[in-house]
Amino acid sequence: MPFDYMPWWDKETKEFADEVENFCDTELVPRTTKLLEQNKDPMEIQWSASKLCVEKGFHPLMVLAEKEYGGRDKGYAGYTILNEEIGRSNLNVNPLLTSVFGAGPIHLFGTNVQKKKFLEPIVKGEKWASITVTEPDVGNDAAGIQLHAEEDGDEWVLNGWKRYITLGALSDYHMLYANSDPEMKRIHRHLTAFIVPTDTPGISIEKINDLIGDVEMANSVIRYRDVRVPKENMILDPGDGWTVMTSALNIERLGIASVVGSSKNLIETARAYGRRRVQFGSPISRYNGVQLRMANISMKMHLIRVYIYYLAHLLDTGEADMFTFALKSSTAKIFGTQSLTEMALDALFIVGGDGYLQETGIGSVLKNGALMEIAGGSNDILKLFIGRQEFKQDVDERMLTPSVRGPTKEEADKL
Amino acid sequence: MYEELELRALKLLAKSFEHNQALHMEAPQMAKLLGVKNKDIQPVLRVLGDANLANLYEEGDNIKLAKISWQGLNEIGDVNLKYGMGKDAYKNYNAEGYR
Repeated sequence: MPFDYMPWWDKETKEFADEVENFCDTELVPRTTKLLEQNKDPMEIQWSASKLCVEKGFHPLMVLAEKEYGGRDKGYAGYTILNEEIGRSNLNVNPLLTSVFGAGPIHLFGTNVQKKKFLEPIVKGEKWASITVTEPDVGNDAAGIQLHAEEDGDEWVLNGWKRYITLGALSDYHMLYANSDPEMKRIHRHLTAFIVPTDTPGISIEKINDLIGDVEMANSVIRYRDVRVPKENMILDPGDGWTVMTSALNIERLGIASVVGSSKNLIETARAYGRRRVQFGSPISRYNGVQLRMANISMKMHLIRVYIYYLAHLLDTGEADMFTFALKSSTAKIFGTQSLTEMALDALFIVGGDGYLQETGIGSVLKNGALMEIAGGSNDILKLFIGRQEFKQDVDERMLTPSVRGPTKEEADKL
Repeated sequence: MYEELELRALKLLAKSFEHNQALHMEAPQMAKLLGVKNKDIQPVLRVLGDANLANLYEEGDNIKLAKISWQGLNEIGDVNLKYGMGKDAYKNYNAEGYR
């Protein structure tokens, strides 16, 4: 099936989509299929897949980054295309995605010196990065970060804990958010962002979490004890951490929403199975109940695709910036991940008992969907954010009936 | 530096952190485990809270929940997170070789 282009894509973007599709079909999937057949463990497969992507120029960060830092400068459209296609390949490339999320703040706000020193090696796949927000006491309440940063001469001294840090034990850099001034929390100027090399003395990996999904990726509990970081490793200025974090999370959420790629697998699996599985003397695809489930998968998949590429277009054309983008990227993240879980369940019930086997791959999509609903800002907390933002907008009185609108200016003038 | 009960309470909070980093302990549960009355654990937790060694959750004047802070953990020194690989987690993590 040819790549389903968006109508606004230019020639270069369409060619890139073809290039990515060809890479997935001819190189990425065959290599990983072979490793799967050899019963290699998931960790080896995902590192092998990640390294192949880097080698062939398909690291999402490489696709996004500017050419002067080793990137391909394909914009957010290219980044989203790659994420979708990797999703379609049903592969786990956590080292790549985590590095994008970890290096996102450097890409967005880093100085030229920081980009040369830290971003370029990550872009080239020579180094790996993690994003470290979550703490023992910090989940949805991301502004409540307790890990403490204290200025000492030309350095900052970090003390505290982080947990649920994907790639934490294996990465070279932690993009770390610390509380540098608790008094400033009321105006969200209390956080500061740092690039912390993981070989810095005082960092210890205290536990590797055992996850239920096949996404086990050195998910770590990390302790920082008198960790000294030079000032030049700070992103922007002290107190800018909240801005850095929330802006970078927008890239992460667009990336997470691109999990729609996995739903292509679901639809193909359900299509093939539905046509060929005969029950009560007929292929099950002829039964209304199965068709309704298929419709649910199809509708959601098409809607999400259009929305994520629309958002990528807004970013690429500068019609939305990282500061105003939160509502849109949150919408994509919530709808995309919630739908993925629902689509996986629909596909699973079409395929029935066979869908419950590891072999069909539906189970891993389901587990990833559940994780993605929690990661990058949980869907529930993002929904609250969207709801509150909607109530903050000005009311458009043209839409209101007189009973809701109340007295007009004319009526008031007559009083 | 601390009264004996204060140190025991801090160690208990550290032990709680080892089991689950996310959860506070209930004050009555702490009192029971330490073999003291609930009213006697209150001033002990207050001292730990005032020294920033513990984060407290209070309702009125009553401390309901307590959790060790990073300062408290630094005070205790090493902790060994349950069900993980402890302080040698990184060394024991065999996936390191895949990079």
